[in-house]
Amino acid sequence: MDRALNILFRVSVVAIFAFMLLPMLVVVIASLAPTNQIELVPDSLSLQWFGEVFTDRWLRPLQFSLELAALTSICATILGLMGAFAVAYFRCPANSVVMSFLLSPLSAPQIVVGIALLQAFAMVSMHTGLGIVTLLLGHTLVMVPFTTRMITNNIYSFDRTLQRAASVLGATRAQTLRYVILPLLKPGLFAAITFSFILSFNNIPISLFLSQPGATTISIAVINYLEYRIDPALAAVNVVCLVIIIVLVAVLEKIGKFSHTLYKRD
Amino acid sequence: MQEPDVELSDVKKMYDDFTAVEDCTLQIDRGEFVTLLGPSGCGKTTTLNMIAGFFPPTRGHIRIRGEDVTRLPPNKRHVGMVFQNYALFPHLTVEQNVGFGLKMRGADNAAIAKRARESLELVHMGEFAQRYPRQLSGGQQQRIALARAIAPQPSVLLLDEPLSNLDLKLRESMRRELKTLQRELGVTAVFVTHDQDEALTMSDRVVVMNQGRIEQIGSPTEIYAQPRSHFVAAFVGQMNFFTGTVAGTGADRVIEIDDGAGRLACPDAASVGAGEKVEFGIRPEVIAIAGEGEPTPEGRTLEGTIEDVVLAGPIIQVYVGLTGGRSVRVDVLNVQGGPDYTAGEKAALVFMTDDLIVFGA
Amino acid sequence: MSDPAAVSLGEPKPAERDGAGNRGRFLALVPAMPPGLLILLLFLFPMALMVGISLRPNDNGMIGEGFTLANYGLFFSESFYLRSFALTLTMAATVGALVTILALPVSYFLARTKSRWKTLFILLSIAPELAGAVLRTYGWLVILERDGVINQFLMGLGIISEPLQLLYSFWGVVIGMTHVLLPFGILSLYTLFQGIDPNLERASAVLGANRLRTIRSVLLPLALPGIISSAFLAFTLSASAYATPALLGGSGFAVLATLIYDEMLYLLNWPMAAALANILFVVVVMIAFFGARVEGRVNAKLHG
Repeated sequence: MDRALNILFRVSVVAIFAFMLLPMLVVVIASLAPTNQIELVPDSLSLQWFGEVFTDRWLRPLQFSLELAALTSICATILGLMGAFAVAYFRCPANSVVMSFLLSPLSAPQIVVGIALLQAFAMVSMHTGLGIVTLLLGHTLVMVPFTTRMITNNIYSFDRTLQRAASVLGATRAQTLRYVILPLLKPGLFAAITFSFILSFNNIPISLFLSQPGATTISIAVINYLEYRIDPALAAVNVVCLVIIIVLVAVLEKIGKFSHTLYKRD
Repeated sequence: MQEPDVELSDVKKMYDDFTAVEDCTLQIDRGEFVTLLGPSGCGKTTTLNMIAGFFPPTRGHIRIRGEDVTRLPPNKRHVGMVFQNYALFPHLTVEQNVGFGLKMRGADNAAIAKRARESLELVHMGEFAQRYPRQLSGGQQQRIALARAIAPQPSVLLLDEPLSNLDLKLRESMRRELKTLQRELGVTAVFVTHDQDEALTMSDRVVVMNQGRIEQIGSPTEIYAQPRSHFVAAFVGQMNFFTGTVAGTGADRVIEIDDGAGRLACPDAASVGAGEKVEFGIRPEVIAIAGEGEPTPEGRTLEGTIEDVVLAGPIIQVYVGLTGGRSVRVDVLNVQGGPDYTAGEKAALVFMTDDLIVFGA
Repeated sequence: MSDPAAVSLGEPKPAERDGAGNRGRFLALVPAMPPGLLILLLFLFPMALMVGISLRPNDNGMIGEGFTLANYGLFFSESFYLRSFALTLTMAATVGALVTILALPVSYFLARTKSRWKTLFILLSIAPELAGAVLRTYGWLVILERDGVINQFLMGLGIISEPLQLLYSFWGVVIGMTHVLLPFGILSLYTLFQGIDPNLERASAVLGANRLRTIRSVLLPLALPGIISSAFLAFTLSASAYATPALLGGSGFAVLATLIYDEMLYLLNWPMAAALANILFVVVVMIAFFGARVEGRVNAKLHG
């Protein structure tokens, strides 16, 4: 009976992995379709749809999304670093209350935050004509809790006797910060930058309400297009996005070596 | 007489309502190896941290080489410290770790490299200069931590249970190595431990602490042979404790042990008088079990029955039950062809009067 | 043997003040101010404003004057809204359950495997997160379509003669949502299983329990708090998701999130959109709170 159970376990793990990877595989195959009919097992492959990606229709939102994600990840990481320093490093008074406050945007569904932001921006006539600014503010707001938490965990994870060790060895507070704390924070900072970039790039609920003509993210552009038709050009757009993200994560991991913070406990 | 290298006068430390250290007065001479010994929570680490400057004492003064450092931050005190978990910087190589202290004090790169290499050679870790701490074993990390502490040539070396994370064999060899290095460098060392063996084997002087107070300061020999309190006697080594009442006067004083276990002559040195309740202790290894036909002099003998015999390598622990139920541990050497001890047999325990350590009640 | 009868208080934790006084402690709040200000202006203020807007009447696509509870009244009286509310909860509950059930074997596998490909497996299980909801939903569109992958496959095998209606159905949305949220479930249960000592399972086996018995009597009780929190997390995330229900469910599939979008951007009824958003917010907070309570109670039972 244990044997049967073991086999069932293995089969289910393989099946669930297949389930998780299937849509992505399908998108990749679809992007290589020779005609605009998507076949399960195509007779031949073609790169023609990737040509469509490099037209204004897709390149502009793609470039816009990349700019937005880059700015968001930098702003959110800087603000997260400030919050984490106050809470975890300086141990400000009532730091758990301050932490809850900084994490509070997580309590509301992002779609609720999105509509609240649109209404508030409209109230002060900021909802049109500002292009990237409103989206940047919205994205930064919902990313700050993530970056704050990541950097806080990073600060808590490193051994606080290291600071004592530095100070016994003659380091001033500024020297300890520069030579000990900041290098130790590197993985946390890079994890925060990477994740806020990905989450911003893929964001739907906030972008949905704050995108405007001329300031539309690639995700929203794809959703809008999908309401009319499904064709392999969209698959090609999605594949290009995925490749960009994977390359970016690989590069940031190479510099920042943050991935171990993901799946290692403490 | 040279002034002491480290001087604590009437130091007290309170955390809110809790007194961690009190009435702590201590002078440590240049080149001396002093150990703060005690159970966890006794205030030894707090004392060490105050010498390092991690927090100021609530009261009292700390001087290092004559300078009052009580309010000075750690980075201005020029002390070296080895932490219990080593606290090596994980993002720096071994060489950068060791050179850290000199770099912080603005030494030039050539001087840093030279001094780092010298320090690493001293702990026999020269070939590991380019490794990272995580690539080293616990014992190797320990040596690096030591090299890092001594590289800036500190006035005092502080050691916070540095050997407690090592396994037994390594710990024993590191004890000797650490002691040798300290003597060669002539650096003053303050060592914190809860391990009495470490304290006795390494120190010039031992400071036994309990509940924030100093119980006794003395050489390892004094601490072991003349413990001044029940606590010190119990904490350092093994001790059989008895309570009883003094009878007689002068050289004829005897101690009538409670529960009718017998009577023993009172050592001349003990300043107790007739009728006084006393506590005294005696170490298991100085008690003899009288063999067949050996003398059992009055006033130096207690009768009992062997309850248990435990073989512990070089010694045999014999537990003897006295009249009244008190059990006494006797350690006898485990020698080839020595006498056999069997539970249930009668045994006469013979004492040397001067081995009795009398505390008063 | 040193076995002092002394009380063991444990070395007291030094108050980590690093020499700074009380003023220094309050100065520590300064770096928290920029992010705090952002949250105040862009979260708390808009949320409060939205509560206000939800209490105003709709005036032909403008926010009308006066105070009214009509928007909330409409929600609780109109069967259209109540049906969509029920659909939201049913979908979220189904997704929450499915995500947890599917995440259990995979996360257990990831936590226990000694394979040298372990890192690769972990990467594969979070890779869908990199792709984002749009790509994955698009993938499911291609799979579930009328002439999509599944129908082509089944018809090619001759199992069915007419294509199945998979897209624009409840189960189509559930499959897509489950796929989107599965990585969250796997990651949270993975840390949970990592924290359960494998020796407990070995102990159970040595004591004579078979695998099933061990799972039922040892593993599941220990994992229960994590299972509950993962299920509730998936529930709240799917209750407020927009893209997947909108794209896989089609125009007939009305959940709260898609209703909010329509009211806001097509019907331009901002007060009603605000009311719906507030209802969604309250429901999500209540469910999350309830989940935390249940988890806390199970935890208390487990660890006394």
